[in-house]
Amino acid sequence: MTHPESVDGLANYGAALAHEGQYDEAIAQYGKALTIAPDNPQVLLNLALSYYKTGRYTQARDRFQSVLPRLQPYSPPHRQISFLLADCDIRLGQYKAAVELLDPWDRKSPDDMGLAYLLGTALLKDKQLDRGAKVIDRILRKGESAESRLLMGTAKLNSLDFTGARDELQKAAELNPTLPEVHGSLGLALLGLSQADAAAAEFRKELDVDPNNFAAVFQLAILAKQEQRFEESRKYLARSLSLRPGDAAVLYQSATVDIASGKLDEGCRELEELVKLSPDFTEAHVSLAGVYYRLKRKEDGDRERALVRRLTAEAQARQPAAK
Amino acid sequence: MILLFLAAAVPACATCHPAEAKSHAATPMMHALTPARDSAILKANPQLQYQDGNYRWRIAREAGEPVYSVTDGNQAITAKLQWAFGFGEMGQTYLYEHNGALYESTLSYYTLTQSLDFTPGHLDRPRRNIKEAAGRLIDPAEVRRCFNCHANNKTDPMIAGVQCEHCHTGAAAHVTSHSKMTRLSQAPAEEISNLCGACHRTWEDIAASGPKSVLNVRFQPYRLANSKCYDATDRRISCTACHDPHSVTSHQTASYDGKCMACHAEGKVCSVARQDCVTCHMPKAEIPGIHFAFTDHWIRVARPGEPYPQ
Repeated sequence: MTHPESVDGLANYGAALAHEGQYDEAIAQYGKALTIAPDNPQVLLNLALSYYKTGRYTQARDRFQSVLPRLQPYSPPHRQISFLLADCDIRLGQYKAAVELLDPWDRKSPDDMGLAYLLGTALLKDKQLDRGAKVIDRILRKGESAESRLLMGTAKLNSLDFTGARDELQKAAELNPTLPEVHGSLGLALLGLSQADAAAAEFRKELDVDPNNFAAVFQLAILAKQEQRFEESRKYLARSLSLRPGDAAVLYQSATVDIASGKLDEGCRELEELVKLSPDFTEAHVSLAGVYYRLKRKEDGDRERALVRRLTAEAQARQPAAK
Repeated sequence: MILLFLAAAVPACATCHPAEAKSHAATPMMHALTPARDSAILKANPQLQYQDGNYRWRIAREAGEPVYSVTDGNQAITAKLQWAFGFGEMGQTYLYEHNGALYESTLSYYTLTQSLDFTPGHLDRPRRNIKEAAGRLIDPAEVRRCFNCHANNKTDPMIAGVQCEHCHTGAAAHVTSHSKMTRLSQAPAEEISNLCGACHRTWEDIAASGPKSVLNVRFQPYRLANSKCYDATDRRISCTACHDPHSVTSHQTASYDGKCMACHAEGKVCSVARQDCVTCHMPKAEIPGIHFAFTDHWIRVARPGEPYPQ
């Protein structure tokens, strides 16, 4: 019989809890097991999976990364963990890392359509449009599928063809309404077409399919802010930040929600922190200038505004037409 | 669908402020929104047509109502125009209802050409079917934003056009109890910029989200705030220092000289001229397809051949 406080006992109990959907409790048991055996690969893997299931992708990625080198290269478990790790990277906005991870697999298994779909997603989100288009071609040659329509829609979103993207994504949703990303991407296309209410409905559908979809949660936060539903916006932003800890865009929106709801000092402090971390974040400097003026801090406002003008002029000078 | 009602302008303000009420009645802001059937442009032009490729558009008056129709020769969409946006200084854009939703017309009327042409943003939109050729579906959230600026939505029922309470918050309470109101004439430039910018776009709106091209010449508070002479705390450079919102905007360039001289009368003054300052320092810029030259409010020494500062 396994001792309940042994590594195996704790790991088994954790697995049982995870099976029941009690991931936080499972994570606690795995944590105890790792204090006894810090490098136990099975416990690390189970812990990573629990983090993954609960949308804590940074923690999941770190554990998957520590497990991966211990697996036999190109074995089925190696493949599974690689794909999960790539999915974590995509969800965290680390698209290049996902591409680098998936490329060797793609060379080895060019007919694996699941892999092609994952790689295509990473390529398109990383704006590697030519390579992404080639992957889409490969998928399309296998016949029509929700995945191929989703990738086509993503490619059209990238090129700001919102009407085309909407049409592709609506077809994808008809083919497979539970395919993750479909409704979230359709929401983005509808936003591009200024159909905010319809977009919000799609983002909510996405969260029914995948409660951890960052784009859907984040866009709902922005839409709630625009409609001055600040508490709702804050909840979505807190969720966004748990999905992408430290994300500058989320921190920026959090500050602007505080400003819009009258918490000027708090918003100002948040923006000051943010521009220290991301000095080229133009929008943050813009909002900071605005809040300085509202706080009657004219000199600070003038300084930020001058900085924005300089950043804008530099961006203009880099445009081809300016040369 | 939002419910829209029309009511007469608040007459109470005019009782004590007759001069402002009278002059404001003639401004484009006052007529920023009209029921399409009352549009002076559509009354004066009972038959308007346009053709592009297979599509033919027409606005014609039928039984006193402006009717918008589009056909490709096989199919057609016909709808009564509901609302006319804009007084017509530059042009006028229309909303129509189709299957219970509001659409922005693909074509607008342009005063300079006295004809229909593509509404800003519509030229490059796909027109793969008759519905797309007719117009762009307006989401309820966008409808709210349209009417927020073009109507007095602060009152119920809604009053078309920008009237007193749109800018003078608390006017209704002031009428009933003579409560104190904010004296906008005493507000610093930044505050006024943000007030006007709520509709004309603030510096923050454009600096953060663009457009960063000649398209932003329409957004005067953004352009003005980029001027070297802009001072957030100085009333002499506020929107209302040059433009009385209760009156029609003057197009006499010399009429603005005094505003420049309020600061530049002493010290370093222009070496080229002492009048018509705005003709050089606020050059006109045209947005392709809009048939109107906007005055660039980014006050500067504009040198020939210099790129448009974004």
